[in-house]
Amino acid sequence: MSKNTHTQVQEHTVAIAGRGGQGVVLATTLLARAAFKKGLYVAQLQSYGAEVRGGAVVAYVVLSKQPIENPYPENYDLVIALHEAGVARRRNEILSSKAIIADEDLVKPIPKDNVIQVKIVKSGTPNMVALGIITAFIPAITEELRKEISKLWNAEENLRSFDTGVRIGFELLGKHTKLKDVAESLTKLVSS
Amino acid sequence: MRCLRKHFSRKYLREEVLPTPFCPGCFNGVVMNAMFKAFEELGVERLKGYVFVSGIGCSSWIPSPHIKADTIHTLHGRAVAVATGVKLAKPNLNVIVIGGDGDLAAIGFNHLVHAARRNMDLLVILVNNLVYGMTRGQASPTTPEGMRTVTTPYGAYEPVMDVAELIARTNANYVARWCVVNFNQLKNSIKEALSKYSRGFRFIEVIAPCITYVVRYEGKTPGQKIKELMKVCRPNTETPYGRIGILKAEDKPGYLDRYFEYVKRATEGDKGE
Amino acid sequence: MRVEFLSGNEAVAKAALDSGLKFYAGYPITPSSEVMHYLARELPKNGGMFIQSEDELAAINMVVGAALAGVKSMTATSGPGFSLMQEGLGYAVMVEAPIVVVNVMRAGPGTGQATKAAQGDVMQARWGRHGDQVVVVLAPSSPQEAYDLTVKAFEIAWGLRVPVVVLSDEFVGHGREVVEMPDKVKEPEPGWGSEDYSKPPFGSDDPRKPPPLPPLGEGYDLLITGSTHDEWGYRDVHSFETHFKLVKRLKEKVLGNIEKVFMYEYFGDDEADILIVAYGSMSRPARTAVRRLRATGFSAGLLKLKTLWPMNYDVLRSYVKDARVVIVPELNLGQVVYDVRIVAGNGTVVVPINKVGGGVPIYACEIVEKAQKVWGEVLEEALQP
Ligand code: SF4
Ligand SMILES: [Mg+2]
Repeated sequence: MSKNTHTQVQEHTVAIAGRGGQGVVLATTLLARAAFKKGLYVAQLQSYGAEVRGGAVVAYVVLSKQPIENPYPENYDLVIALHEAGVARRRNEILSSKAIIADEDLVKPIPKDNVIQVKIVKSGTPNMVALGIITAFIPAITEELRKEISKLWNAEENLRSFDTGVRIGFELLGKHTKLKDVAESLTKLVSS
Repeated sequence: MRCLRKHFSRKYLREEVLPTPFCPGCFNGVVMNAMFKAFEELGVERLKGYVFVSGIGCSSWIPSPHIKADTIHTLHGRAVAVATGVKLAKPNLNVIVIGGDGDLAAIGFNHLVHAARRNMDLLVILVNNLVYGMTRGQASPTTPEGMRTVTTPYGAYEPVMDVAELIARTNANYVARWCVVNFNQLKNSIKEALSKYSRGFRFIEVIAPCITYVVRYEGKTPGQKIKELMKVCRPNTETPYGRIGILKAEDKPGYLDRYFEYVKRATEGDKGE
Repeated sequence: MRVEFLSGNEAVAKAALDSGLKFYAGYPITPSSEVMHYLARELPKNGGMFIQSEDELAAINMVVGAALAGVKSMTATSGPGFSLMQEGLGYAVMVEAPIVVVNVMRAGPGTGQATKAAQGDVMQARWGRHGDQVVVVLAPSSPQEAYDLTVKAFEIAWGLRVPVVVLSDEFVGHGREVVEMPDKVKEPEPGWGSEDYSKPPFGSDDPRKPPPLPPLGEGYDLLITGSTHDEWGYRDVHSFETHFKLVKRLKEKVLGNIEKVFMYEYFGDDEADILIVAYGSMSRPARTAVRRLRATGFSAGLLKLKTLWPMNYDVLRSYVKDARVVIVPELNLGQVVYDVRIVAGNGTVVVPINKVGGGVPIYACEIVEKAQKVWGEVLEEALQP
């Protein structure tokens, strides 16, 4: 018989897909740091070409109450897509994800019922709006995130965009019942 | 009973490894002698605190295994890099690199020129024998044009590299070039580079044509070659081997002086953004 | 205990500082540069030396020089830089310089894909030098292990006077995770703590106990050479006896300490039918795959190798022998799979999963699918009349 038990592993992933210069990596780093400060185990990874500005970027954060087993999920719980380039870079992973909120101008229409397309990039600083939307799914980290954003050099503008994102996020949650499941599982992470 | 006084240089030598493996009449012995004379005149009794670093080539055997001190015999071309590591790890040690034209000017030139640019606190003695002696006389970056060697059987056609002039154009503190026939000047230069100019990068090129290959390639006898060198290599003149003499003598802050300044900035409030 | 959110590259740098690092030389190269960036800030403030070298040849030779001078030293690089460092690594083996070399692997050969993770340098780390020699190769799978194994690397390097390669990769180096670090790390001691400098510095009666190298500048008149030498460092480039004795000792001092050097972890069922052998970043989806396989009724296990060289073939065999199917997922075209093939008996099917480029990992689902498919084939074959 086995000496190891079949431990239950609960890992949730939030991804941002975009383009170099949109601040995708920074946003996921701030998210990870805020979640870490709230006592979660986190893993933040990215795929980008550092030598090519403007190339595709996909970055994500794995969140868990336990040490992260596997930071290479085959899909994500929530994806914020800011640019087509990022979506193309990780098409399979993104399209098989639970919920996708995509920019309606910069991401080509995705005809799937778990995809919601709204104005993100035009609503403010793209990465901060994205962070705000994500925060609506995990409200418990809002304060930590605002603290992280306050450390940035253009904090005021960023915070404004962040708050816009939070508003957009809650609106979407109110409108689309299919986002509820995702929000529930993410919220549970820090609701203890 | 014969009563011979021990030669002064024996205190700097590991006597158990003598005689040296150099060809009879090789000028490496002259360089070695000049260096030991310099130590003697500086009053150095024991070479404790000196580290000799060399690479691969005939002249790299001058320190290793012969000199009774810490010696590091490194890979071909890498002596300056290893010496840099030693010096930075233990700044109070005196680190001396000895190498040939192949070692320092060909395969190791990148390390040499950057150490010079950094004004790294090292003394580098380049024994320029004009060929690759150890590997049987191939042409090197300093082989005179026209010389027929095993790798230039129809006469060398690549222009010659003037190593001392190149190094003098960097931020190095001290650069000199002597021929083995300028024995006293060479000795004094080494002395100076260990006393008056004791910081920064100090570079001494020694013209020491390979007795076995160069002299044969030129169709001369060793005696004829020495006579020719004595005639040609007059201090402070242009020669076929470049300008002979002290090309540069400054006492600017060396790499370590600058590094410790930098450390001061780092520890005294500079955030490093 | 300190708990921080760090990238693998930062964790390596922190571990080195905690282990007493006082000298770093390196040349910028993606994806390893953050190691250098971190130390460029911290070393000058901590009584250490930092130098950005003119190339990787210089970096490794400077590091060797500093190590010979008795100072904890390290360099970090990636693919092309690691290729340049092979020469210096071989030299470090010969002069028994305790250095740590970090290679954050990216996709090669050539310039390849500089920002994309790969595991293609395993064989190079083991065998990249000319001549007979053994270095130690450790493979961290996470920022946490990047920290832990770098500490271990210094311990082994100084204990055995052997170069240790920390074979990280872009995923581990750039991925950020929570890292737990002890408040204080015991500074590694030369020769596992022996400070007897009266013995010959390049040889001992028991090859497993290398004598500590006396520090430079203390009057020991050290004779250090990369040429074949006897136990006092005298060059002997002609005799068979001296050379054979030397290279055998250099090998035996590592292999004779394999218990201390070879590290691994096992997770899963005892005597599992399906065994996954993985290392570095790809051991993590492998673990998820094992959990999923077990949850669906398979008998499965993960053997995670933390040490890739020297390989303890006895340990590997003890796990492989009970398995019917062994899956070896690697971000390369197949390297550690050869080790598994060496120990696998006729009744064991060895299946590599190879994927490299684009920064794409091997997903847990791919391992699960492959395992199930091969298991099905094995069963079918067994049922054939
Ligand atoms: S080959 Fe030339 S440089 Fe070398 S030892 Fe003989 S004479 Fe001297
Ligand atoms: Mg030469």
